Amino acid sequence: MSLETDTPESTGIDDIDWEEIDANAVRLDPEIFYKYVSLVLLCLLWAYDYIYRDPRLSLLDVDIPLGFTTFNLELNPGNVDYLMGLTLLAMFWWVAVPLARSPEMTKQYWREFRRNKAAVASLVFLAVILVVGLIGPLIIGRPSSDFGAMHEAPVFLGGTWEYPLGTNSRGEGIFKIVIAGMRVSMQVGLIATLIVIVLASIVGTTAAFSGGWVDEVLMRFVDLLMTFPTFFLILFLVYIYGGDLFMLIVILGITGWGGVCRLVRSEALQRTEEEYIEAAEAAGATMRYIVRRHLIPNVSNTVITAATLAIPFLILTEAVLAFLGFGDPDVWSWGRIIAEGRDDLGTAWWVATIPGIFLFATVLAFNFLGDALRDAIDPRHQIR
Amino acid sequence: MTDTEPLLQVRNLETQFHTDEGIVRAVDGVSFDVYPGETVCIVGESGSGKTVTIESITRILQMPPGEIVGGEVIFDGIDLTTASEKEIRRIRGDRISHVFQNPQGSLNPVYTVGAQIREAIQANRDVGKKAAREQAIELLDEVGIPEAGARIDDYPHEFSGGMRQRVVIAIALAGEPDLLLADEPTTALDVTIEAQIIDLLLRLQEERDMAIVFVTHDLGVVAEIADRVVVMYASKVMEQGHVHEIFDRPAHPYTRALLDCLPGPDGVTPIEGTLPNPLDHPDGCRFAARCEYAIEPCFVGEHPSLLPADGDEDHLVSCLLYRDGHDESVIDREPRRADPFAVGDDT
Amino acid sequence: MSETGHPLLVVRNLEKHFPVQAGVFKREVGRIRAVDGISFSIEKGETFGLVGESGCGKSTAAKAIMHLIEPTGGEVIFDGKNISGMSKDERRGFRRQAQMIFQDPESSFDPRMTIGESVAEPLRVNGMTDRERRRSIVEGLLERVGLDAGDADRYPHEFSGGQKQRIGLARALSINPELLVADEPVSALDVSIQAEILSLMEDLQREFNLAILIISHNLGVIRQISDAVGVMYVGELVERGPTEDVFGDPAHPYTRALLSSIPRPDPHIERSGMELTGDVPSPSDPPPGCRFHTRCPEVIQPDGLELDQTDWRTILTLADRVYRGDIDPQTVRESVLSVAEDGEREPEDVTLSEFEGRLREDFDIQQELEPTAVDTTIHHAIEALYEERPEVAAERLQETFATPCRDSRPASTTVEGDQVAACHLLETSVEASETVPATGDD
Repeated sequence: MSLETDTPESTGIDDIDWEEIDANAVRLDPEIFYKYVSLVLLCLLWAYDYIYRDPRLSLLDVDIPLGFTTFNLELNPGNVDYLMGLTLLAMFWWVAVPLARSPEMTKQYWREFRRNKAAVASLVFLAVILVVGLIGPLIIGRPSSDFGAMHEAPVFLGGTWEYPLGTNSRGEGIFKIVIAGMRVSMQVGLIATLIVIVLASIVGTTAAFSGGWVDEVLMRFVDLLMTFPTFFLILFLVYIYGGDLFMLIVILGITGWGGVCRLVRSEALQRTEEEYIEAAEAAGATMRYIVRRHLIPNVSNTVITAATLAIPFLILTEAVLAFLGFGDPDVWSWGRIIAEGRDDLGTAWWVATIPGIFLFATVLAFNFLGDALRDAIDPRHQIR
Repeated sequence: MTDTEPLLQVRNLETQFHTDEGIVRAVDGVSFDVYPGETVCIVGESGSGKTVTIESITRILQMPPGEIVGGEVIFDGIDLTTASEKEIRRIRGDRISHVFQNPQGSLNPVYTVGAQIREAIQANRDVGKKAAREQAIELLDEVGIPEAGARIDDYPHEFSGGMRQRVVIAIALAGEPDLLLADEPTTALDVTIEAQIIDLLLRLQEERDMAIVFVTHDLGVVAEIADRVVVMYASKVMEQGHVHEIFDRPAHPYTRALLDCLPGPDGVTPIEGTLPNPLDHPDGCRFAARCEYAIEPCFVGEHPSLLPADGDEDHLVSCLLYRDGHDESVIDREPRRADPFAVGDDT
Repeated sequence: MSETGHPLLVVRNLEKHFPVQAGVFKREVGRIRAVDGISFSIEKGETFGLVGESGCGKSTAAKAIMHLIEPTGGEVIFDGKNISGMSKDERRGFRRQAQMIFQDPESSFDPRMTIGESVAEPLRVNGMTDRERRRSIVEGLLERVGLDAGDADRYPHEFSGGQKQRIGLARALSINPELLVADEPVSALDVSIQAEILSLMEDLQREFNLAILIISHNLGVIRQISDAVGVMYVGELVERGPTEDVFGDPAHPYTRALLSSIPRPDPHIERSGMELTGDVPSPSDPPPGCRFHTRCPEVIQPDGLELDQTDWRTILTLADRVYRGDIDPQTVRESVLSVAEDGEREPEDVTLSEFEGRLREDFDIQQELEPTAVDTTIHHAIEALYEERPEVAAERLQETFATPCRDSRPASTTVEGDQVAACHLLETSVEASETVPATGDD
């Protein structure tokens, strides 16, 4: 279908030959391309590891010579670690890249965010926790028992530098335990939140934009989900299969998105009233395009804030389960260590207290961060 | 008109807003008088400071971020800018009432209109519940609500937009004010309803001998109701005078440009350029950058003060060209007759 | 005007009804007849203005024409092809040739997209993947509407309302459409900015040979920009025709009333005083017959009746309320008591004369109307109401005050040339001019 208007001379718009355009309509946005490539690479790696290799064997085991010593880098990622990789990829593509692409908006967010000193401190603290949690265990290794050094005091109470934060009843170093715990908490918080965000955003925006029976069905499902007894499901599964971090994260993720979904839907409902949505429809945009390009970016403020406030809840939930003994016995969850140390509070208070302080500080920092983000990226602040 | 004392004198009023980006001087030395029983229209584009001006009069402005930093508002011998909160509350609603643009927002949806009018009556007068109710019915009847006795117990959502604005006016009248401050009361309404409300206001004014300050951006409404007009632009008064002078022989180039913006039989003539930044008003005359008659001195110093145009003390204009030593006759003071409907009119 | 021999857009009996649902099973309990059978056509390069009060259905009509909402009935024929029956793929072609601009400059741009991305969106969703080409089109357009090419990288909140409306025009024109639908494009703007946007629209129209459908409640705007105009009232088009004819010599009483209620920017003109009473009826329950008859100042009187038009209007208003069963005798009784400041009596004690007095006052009906026959009918009707027999009251009023305006829907009548109006006065213009003074012009 070609346009038959007489082309005006000085418009800078040439007649567009839609037939030609339709024929060449292969969409290949470089950014989308790299997004998919990175995702596919991660999946391939997982498949290779899962299918072709013995799970007990390490994926990577190399000695890196560092001149005076050699450093042994051993990687044996489990399913949780692959999910964590996926989460980090998502954070890169959905948070880092958009922020970098519109530096002006980023600056404005930062100006707003910077006002809240507690939140800035929280951000730094959490960044440290994340980095140390991810890399630390690779460098210093996992805690190991040393029955010659049980209940050793931290260094500031007269202990030795071998165990700077003391040891527990099996002589495992609290320092290493705390760092291993950081990893677990971050994994639980971030991965489960990613699952929550993805499900809540897709379902919430689709329901809001479609309306009618689609909305009805999806939101009634959310109602059901929100009455679902997650705790008992976990107890049941732990009873049958034993505690497993992967399973725990996935269950927390896929049962916990109802509340965020409702928020997203109500926000998206307001957005669908906006005229830019109508303009896109009038231009012939598909529902998928509108949801992806307009609705999801414009509810992202709600999503990010809700997510930041969901993370501490998830971390605490995992800690509680571990404390009660329903956690994964193979991972160094802060909750489990606190439970273990509570009998020795009189003699070795540091065993329970130090992980407790870290748990408390992490949860508090996420709360501060969430509040400050809400203030900084609230669209009502953003415009004018 | 000038032999009586003015009811309200606004003198060099200055109101500022403290914002993140800096101080917005929303009203910057505005002066005008209102005499008993007359209608003064403050006309201007959005951002010209017209709403802030009348909200400063009874200090219903949000403070902070707003702040009245200078000038006087003298009502009946009292300076309202320095009056105590108690004094001003006695004047507000009783002697000076407000009507706002959005009737939806000025009525509380959870109370019946009767309750809201009664509240306004009882706030100003010591009357019993029953007497107040009867007065409320009378008021509703007076503002043209049919079957007032039956509708008094209805809730605001049961009224249409025009009817709600009538209710708002009834509430404003409850204190039998001497002065009604109306901020774009017809802008949200359709033309046929707007005409009803304007007629109502004019009738009420006549019956009650009440002065009205009417804020609007619609020159058609101004022509219809105003006795005198105050033209505002970028926080300053550009011109004020009798409605006939403003429309027939506008003295300020801005006033004429504004009149020429109205759709007419030979199209519109837009004003070139944009409004100055309220955070940083330019030196000299605020309109100079868009003015076709601007000369070099227009761009320096303070905004020109108000001077009589044509030697008429009641027609004031703030334009340098009217000063001694300049020639105001260069200004074309014949507005294009911008009445798009003059053709269909047999008058 | 058209080289191809047919108008660019033909709208025929377009209808959009919204169901009113209730209960768990979403049973339809009524319909809002937002647009109820409107017809008009637009030639290439022509501007058609749709004017009416809020709630008359003009915006709904625009959306239904664009098929942003599916019409419930009627046809939209664009460039000879019926859009309503088209498949998704075929509609794509239509979307590329018809674009919209919107009322609210604040909400018509995605705050998270740059202006450039927003303007390029129609190109993008229509499959133009070449970024460079999109960019060059966008830059050319931004300059054309009076902005800088460099503005493409800025965000919407950095622009004023007028600038955003310019950008909206650029976006609509990016795929070089033939039809532009503008829904209240200037009503959120100041007069001086309105003037800018309107003259830009006129320039662009000439340059691109655009057909424009402009929707506005502002008659001045419509008057300035439109070649032809349609006046809507409660979902119907009451009058349409060339702008000069419709505004210069309006044929429908509603058009006359609208025109006479515009505040004129000239302090020497007194408004002609033809003020409409009452509010616009709800489209969920439109009045029977001519929808304007409940407010019309020129309703046809039954044969043999020659009342003063003002008195006739007050009687009809009462009659309408009675026909609709809107008058609750109990409320009237209570109203009598509360006005009489009499707390002692029960509502049942209100006398007929008090009751009648109250109603007559409420509806501004004179006591002792001439001729007596009319007054007697009103008296009997009110008596029936007093006795809680509203059907009898309605029957009595209907016997004496039957009018074609209520009894039948007026057909569209050609007034002169292309000017068409739907009013009984025009169908029976000879008799009507005898009985009904044309109050619009005095």
